[in-house]
Amino acid sequence: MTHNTTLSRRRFLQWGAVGIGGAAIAACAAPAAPAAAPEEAEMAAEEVITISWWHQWGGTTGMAAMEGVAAAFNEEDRNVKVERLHVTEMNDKLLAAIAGGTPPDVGVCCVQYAELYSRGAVMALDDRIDNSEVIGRDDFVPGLLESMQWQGATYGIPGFEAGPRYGLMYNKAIIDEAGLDPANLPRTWDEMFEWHVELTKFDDAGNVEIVGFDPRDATAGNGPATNIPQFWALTYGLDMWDDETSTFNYDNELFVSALQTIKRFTDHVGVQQMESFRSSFGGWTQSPSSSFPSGVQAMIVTGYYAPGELFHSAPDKEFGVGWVPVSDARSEITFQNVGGHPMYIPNGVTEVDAAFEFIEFCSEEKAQGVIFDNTGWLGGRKALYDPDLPKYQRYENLDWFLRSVNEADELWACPVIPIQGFVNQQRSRAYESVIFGDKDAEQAAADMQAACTEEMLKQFPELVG
Amino acid sequence: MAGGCMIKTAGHRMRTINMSQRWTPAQIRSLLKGLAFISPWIVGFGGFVLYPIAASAYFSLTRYDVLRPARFIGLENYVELFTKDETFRTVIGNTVYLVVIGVPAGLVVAFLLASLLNREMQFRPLFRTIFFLPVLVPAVASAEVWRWVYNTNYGVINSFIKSWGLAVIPFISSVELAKPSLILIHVWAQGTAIIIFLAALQDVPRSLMDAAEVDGANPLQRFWHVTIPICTPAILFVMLTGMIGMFQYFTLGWLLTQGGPNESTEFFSLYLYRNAFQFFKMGYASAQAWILFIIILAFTLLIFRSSARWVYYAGESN
Repeated sequence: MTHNTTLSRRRFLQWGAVGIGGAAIAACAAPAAPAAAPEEAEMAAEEVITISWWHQWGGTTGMAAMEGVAAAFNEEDRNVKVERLHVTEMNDKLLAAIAGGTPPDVGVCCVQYAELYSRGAVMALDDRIDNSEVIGRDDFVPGLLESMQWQGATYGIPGFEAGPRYGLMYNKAIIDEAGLDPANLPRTWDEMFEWHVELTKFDDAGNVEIVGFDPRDATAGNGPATNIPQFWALTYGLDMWDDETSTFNYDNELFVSALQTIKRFTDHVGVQQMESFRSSFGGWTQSPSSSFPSGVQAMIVTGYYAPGELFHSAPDKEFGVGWVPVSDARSEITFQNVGGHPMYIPNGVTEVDAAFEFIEFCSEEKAQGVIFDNTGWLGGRKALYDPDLPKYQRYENLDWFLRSVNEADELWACPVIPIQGFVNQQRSRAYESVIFGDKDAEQAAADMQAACTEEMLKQFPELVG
Repeated sequence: MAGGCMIKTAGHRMRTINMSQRWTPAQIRSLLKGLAFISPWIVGFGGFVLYPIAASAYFSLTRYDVLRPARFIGLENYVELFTKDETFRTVIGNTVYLVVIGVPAGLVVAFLLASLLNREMQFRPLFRTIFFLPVLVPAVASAEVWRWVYNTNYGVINSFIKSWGLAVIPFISSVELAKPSLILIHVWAQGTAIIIFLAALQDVPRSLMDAAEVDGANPLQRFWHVTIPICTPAILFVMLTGMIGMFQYFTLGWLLTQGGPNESTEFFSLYLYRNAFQFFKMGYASAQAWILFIIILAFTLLIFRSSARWVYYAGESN
């Protein structure tokens, strides 16, 4: 009998695999723990919990604020720490993360909140609010918490950015040059149109040089959403959404009149000119190259954040602010809306207590200070809505916005429409189809009503009454 | 043929394998080894291609928003798309416009540029590099560059026009000009097609050109009757891939015009994306995806069928 001492390749691989497997198993085994000291046992009892926080806000000032808030939270003596992640296209990514069971512990900005609330994608926070020593239901500006509720449950807490959405801001130099009196700002859309005609300038070739007012810029052109309602409905006194019956109210004279007003302002400039102007300059007030900060647009309807943004984007210009115009029938009425972005906890999160602790921190004065100092944003707490606070004097006109919340005849809350993305698209279609002359205002209003109603019946038939 | 099948071998001879024969252990081991080696691909294909395709087919028959369970509604999504959805009709029109105008335009320009770059000329490598550069520029960067080129106030073209006291051209803010303006960007970025055509042009046999010249053909006739027919396989390839890519057009449309003005650049993929992620209508978007697949398949078959009449393969006997 011969004894073969050589090792075949197969045998070598088999033994090798056994060896590697054994080593891997050994590596996975917990190391033998030395006897725990009392201090270590105490530390173990206070194990640090790290939560994830997603936000979409970026840009220089936004990032500084987010980083500042995370740093302020993490430097506190807590057993909860936060890891911040800047997420672009957050609506898509959050949707995928929730569906995949890996959502962040806390989210803020910029997703379609109403869709998430109404589909059970985020957690109701009522029990935690009721048991909180930091957050109370009466702590916030009226209407704000309501805009974060669906079917009686509260799904978000105002934290980072929430405040009045409507003021008519104007460029003082352009108004002065046109010989108009800023002490008597237009109160109705007819008066506003006269100003628009006076302020809009063309060059010899017919190219528009200065636009008086763009009816679709900034908060005038947006909504309805939980953070911005629909300006052109509110200015005509139209409550376009009924929470009780989950029905829309677009097919009526008020909305038709609003559409006709949008068209009237656009037609004076020329629809093509207005489109070119908008695409050339961009809107809102944050970017120095946008039309209002760069001094080629005289007036804009926008929110409380504009004074802070203009402080940075147009430091060499002076601006004023007043109540936004209304329809003739409402000429004696002033109105305001407070809307904002909620902080929320997606369903599926396990560290709910820790997540809520971070939300509580963000709604408090320390975090609010960091946010305001970097961005000029407010968080919606009544206690911080004192227009006479010295820090609010830093941005000219901010105090007007803060006072307007208490002085307005009407304070509107943002609607929570479970198909807000669809309604937004229909709003955009309605405005464009009218200004481009594809439809008359009556037809556009009727079509919008029909489309939104049909979609609501498809997605939430049980709610439509 | 019960229990067996015909296997066509390279030499066109047929041999028969009797499938009813039991596999030997060695054959099974060999099969398992083979499967183990390609298992990463199988897992990837199954998980990331096959399953999503099957899932989207199912979801297209449901009302599904990702966050709530899907509800089966049969063909309702398809019926709605074709009978009720006004935007979908606009979207189809916009996309077909882009394909019908954009693909031939890109193809013609790429072929002509490739023909020029195929000639003996000074700085030829430099020009080839310049024409290929747009392909290397990320889409977002391209969009930003073109946004400034097209800008009505500061853009390079309109600044010049304004300096002459003329009315500006509203490239991407006009319903009429927005699509042609996007097509112009597409034509600008034809570097890949140019490379393919250059390779094809360099394969045109010198002997055929000489023969045509001897027969009295002028340069235009030689280009039309010799160069183009020899390059038709490459033209077919560029046409097919261009057509498929154009039906899926998204990035520049999204970045530059967001579907506007007045839905004039709302293309198929943009609307699909909106339905899926902005309107939370994943089932409806899935139905759109299948319609897009069928449209692309139909166009592909049409081009393939027609190619028998106009594509010349040098190796074919007839």
